[in-house]
Amino acid sequence: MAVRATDLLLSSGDEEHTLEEYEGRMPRWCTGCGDLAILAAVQKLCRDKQLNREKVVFVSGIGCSSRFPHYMGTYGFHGLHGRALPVAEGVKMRRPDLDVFVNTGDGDCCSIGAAHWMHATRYNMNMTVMMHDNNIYGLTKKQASPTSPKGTRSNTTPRGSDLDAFDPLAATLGMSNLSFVAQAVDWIPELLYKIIKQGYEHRGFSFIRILQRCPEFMPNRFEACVQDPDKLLLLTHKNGIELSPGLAKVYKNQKEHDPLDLVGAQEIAGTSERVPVGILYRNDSVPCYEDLRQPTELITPQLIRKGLETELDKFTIWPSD
Amino acid sequence: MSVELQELLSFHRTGKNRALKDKKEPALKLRPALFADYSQLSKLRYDYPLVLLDESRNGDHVISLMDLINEVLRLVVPPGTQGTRVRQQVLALELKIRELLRTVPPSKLGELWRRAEKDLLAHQSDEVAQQLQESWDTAWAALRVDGLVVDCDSELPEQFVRHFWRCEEALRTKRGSAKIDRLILKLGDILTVDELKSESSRTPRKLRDSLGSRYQDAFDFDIMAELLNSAAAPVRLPAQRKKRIKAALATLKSQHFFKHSDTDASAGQYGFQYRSVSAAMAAWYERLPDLVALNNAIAVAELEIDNRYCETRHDLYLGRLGAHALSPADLAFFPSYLVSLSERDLDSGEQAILMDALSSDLPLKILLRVNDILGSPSPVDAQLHNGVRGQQFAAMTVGLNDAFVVQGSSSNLYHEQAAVERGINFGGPALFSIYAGSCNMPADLPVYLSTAAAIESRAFPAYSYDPSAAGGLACRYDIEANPQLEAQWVAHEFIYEDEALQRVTETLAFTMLDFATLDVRYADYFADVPKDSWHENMRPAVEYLELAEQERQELVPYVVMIDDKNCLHRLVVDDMLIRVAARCAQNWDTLREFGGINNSYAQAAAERVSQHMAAEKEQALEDLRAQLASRPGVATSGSAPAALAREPEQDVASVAVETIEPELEDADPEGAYIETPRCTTCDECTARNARMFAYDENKQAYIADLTAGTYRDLVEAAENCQVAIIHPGKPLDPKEAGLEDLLARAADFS
Ligand SMILES: Cc1ncc(C[n+]2csc(CCOP(=O)(O)OP(=O)(O)O)c2C)c(N)n1
Ligand code: SF4
Ligand code: SF4
Ligand SMILES: [Mg+2]
Repeated sequence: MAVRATDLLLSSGDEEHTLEEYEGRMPRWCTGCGDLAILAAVQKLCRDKQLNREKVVFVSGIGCSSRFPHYMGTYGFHGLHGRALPVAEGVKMRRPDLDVFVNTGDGDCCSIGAAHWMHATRYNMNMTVMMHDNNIYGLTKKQASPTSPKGTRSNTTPRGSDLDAFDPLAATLGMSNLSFVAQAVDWIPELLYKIIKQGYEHRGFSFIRILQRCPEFMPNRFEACVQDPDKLLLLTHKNGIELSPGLAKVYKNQKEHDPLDLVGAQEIAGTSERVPVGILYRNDSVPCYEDLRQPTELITPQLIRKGLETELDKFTIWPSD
Repeated sequence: MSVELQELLSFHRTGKNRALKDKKEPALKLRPALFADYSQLSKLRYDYPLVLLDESRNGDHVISLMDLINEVLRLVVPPGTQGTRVRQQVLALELKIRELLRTVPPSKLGELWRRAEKDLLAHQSDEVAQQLQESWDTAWAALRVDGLVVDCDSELPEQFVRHFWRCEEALRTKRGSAKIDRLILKLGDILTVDELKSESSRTPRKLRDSLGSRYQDAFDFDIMAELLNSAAAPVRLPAQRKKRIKAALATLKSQHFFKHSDTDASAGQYGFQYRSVSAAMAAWYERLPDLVALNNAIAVAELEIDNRYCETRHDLYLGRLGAHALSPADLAFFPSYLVSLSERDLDSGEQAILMDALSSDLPLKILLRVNDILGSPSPVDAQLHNGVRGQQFAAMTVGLNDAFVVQGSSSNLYHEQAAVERGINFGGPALFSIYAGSCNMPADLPVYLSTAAAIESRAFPAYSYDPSAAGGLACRYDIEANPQLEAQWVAHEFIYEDEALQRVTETLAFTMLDFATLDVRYADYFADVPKDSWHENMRPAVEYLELAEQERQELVPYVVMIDDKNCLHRLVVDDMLIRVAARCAQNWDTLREFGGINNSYAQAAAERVSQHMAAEKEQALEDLRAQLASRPGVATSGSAPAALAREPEQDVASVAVETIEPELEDADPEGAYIETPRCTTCDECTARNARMFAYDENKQAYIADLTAGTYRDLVEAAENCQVAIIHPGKPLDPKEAGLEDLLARAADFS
């Protein structure tokens, strides 16, 4: 492809960004919290992709996980409970040049924000969504969330929760206009990084559910999975995740799964025997809403004013004479 | 040798047989025989006239009237007999438009359509008129396009190329204007935000004004201003940056290359159409400093908007970025220049400038109207004359290898539109060398026919040359627009009645000689042989051209023509023209080779490879036979048995590469270590002892300083690491208290 001479001259020698540049404030998560692993993976991704900090936005709702934007050295928007996605959509619509990431909790996404999640999936705007699923409301100190396993004793379910857990993977795989669904676990850094990276590289709405340890309120929830590699099922494919030899040796349960195979993905999500980790579905050909709705003219303050005035004039009562 | 034959031969060889020439009937208007079907062109449906679309449609800038009407008929007329009446009515209107074209001034399709309707309705009864009008209204409603209708005449090349240039430039200008407007807006935003941070933006009055009238009383703006101004002074733009942004903004706002959205559309905007290369070049150089300044301002603006401007680096570059640093990609952003020339008007000075321009990187799009392909016959008898004069500009430009070249004629521009479009978008100079008909052709010969004849006869083959195309010469040349690519000469079926009124079908080739018969300057090079003098030694010129010199002895070449009454004539051809025709054929061969057909190099290489393979195969068989022969009890025969002729199978085991799994470097079992790649950054160990445990560049833990803590620290960290990746190894200090217990606990992590 032809390159402008000015671009060549001006970009040569751009300084290399270090991981530290993507660090924001000191994380105030509990020691051992899985959110820390997600933060490290994301900062590493920003460094590896050499993202311009001014061109990156992290949007979140409310929850422990939603403190994420504070810990990034980029732009961020710590929003309202359950409303991360509409804010992110607004950002992307107006500034498609920005890289948009969303951090949301299981309560934030699957409970109060569930409707937004469904529509955001359908809009398929280009953003990377990480759903930190610790199976509990962490920030408010232990209330059962939709993903809490049946029998979870919490402040709102002191005798144990009554319902089977809601399955975010099965749910999202049934939504309209889907383009990317993956599942990661916070305790395998290599996989976590690879999956978030693929989500970022996918042009569209990348939904990544991350099983996240909350040692504070759900200390034993994922213990068995952490200790026993046999409890996981790693999804591999040349168009999905390929394992390093080291990882392949430890995690013997592997399944070759083509990310384009939606029915296969639904089957995998539907079987609870083992926890699937990898790319369940990816379809690069779904159009992005921000592309479909690209403005045809430059949005200037004058244009906005004109539009507003036209709208407001509709409500103006003009004197009859 | 008969007297007649001698006469024929003498004309052919010398062109000077008065007796034969005098027999010619000057009143007879002869045409190449293959023109027989085209005597009334305006009654035929063919790919002209064209509609130069006002609004491009699906990326198309032009459509032929015939295609357009066909499309409409498909859309609105029921298929089969049901739609016959409406179809005929619409086709009648199309025919009328074709006729009108020759009499009315240049008009748009809409005007012509209405005019044709009016003419056709003039003598109809009300009932018929109503029917007709209904059919035409339906068709018109389905058309949905309008634009200037142009016929295939000598003006067409200019109209066509200019139209394409305008359409493509409109897109380029739109992109350019949008970009500049966006940069102006964004730079303005940076300055506005800075301005809002200034004290003067925080006066009670400014604050009041910013709120609107409704709630103004609800606030105390004096206190608000005081509060705001007592807070820490906001970070403002550094003076240098502000200056730079303002300078870039000024350049962007004062540029003349693209329309500004907020100013009068054409005020001060540069023009880009010229009638001479020197004038276009002069304008280019005069504007060059502006272009460089704008290009740099765009670079500054983009960097500033992205917050990537770094003074220590970029000041230096931008100070030095002059015209020499402009790449084709930089230039592709700016409008190109269209220069319309007529080959007739080019003096030698302007020709030299043209070649200079075509070997530069400048975005000059040059339309060259060619009016003379063959050139004048040499005044000196028998002096060699190459007959390819008209092709020289395109050929020379290809030789420069820097410019995009399109050669074609008015008649096939419609088929070469993709090449024209690519030439205009090519990031450098482009030459469109288009044959537009000639004043040396009979005045009543439609330009469509004479220009089509130029292509069909190979006298002026159509091609394009794209120097930027990857993949070798054949990819750069595109010769697809020529008819019957595989053939030396184009041939068509020709049907006539013989004296016994029997139908005769013959294949007639259309050669450069047929094209020359149209040129009045070459009239003397043909002699019409009266039918009674036709001789068995007369040969169609194409056949004659194929013969070797010694085979031509006593043969006379002729071309077939018809007169006004559609009677066939045979014209003997002067030998000088035969030589020109041979030259023309060679040219075509060369072009075809360039275009990847009958490539002599490829053919020779393929031949060599196949010979080599045959030899190798033969040798292998030979070896096998020898092997067989040496085995007792095996009879040798002419060919090896099939099983033996097979390649010996490779010994898989001997070539299989052991797949070796990369093992982690064996850690020292005595020493402490962390499986860093598996660390989940949980802060557990680093919170315990931040000097002993640290994060690496990927934010994963490793043991930074073993001496910074005790063995107890290590063991406890290992116990608390949720993914159990800390391995304490053996203690450094053998005297540490409680070692026995610690060593037992550490054993779990060894
Ligand atoms: C509208 C609203 N309702 C309720 C709350 C209280 N609230 C804060 S965080 C939270 C749940 C957080 O759980 P989750 O999204 O799983 O995040 P986690 O803390 O587990 O990471 C709730 C209910 C709120 N802040 N706003
Ligand atoms: S409460 Fe749970 S989720 Fe929240 S920071 Fe602590 S460990 Fe993490
Ligand atoms: S305790 Fe383990 S997982 Fe946590 S930071 Fe230390 S080494 Fe990494
Ligand atoms: Mg939660």
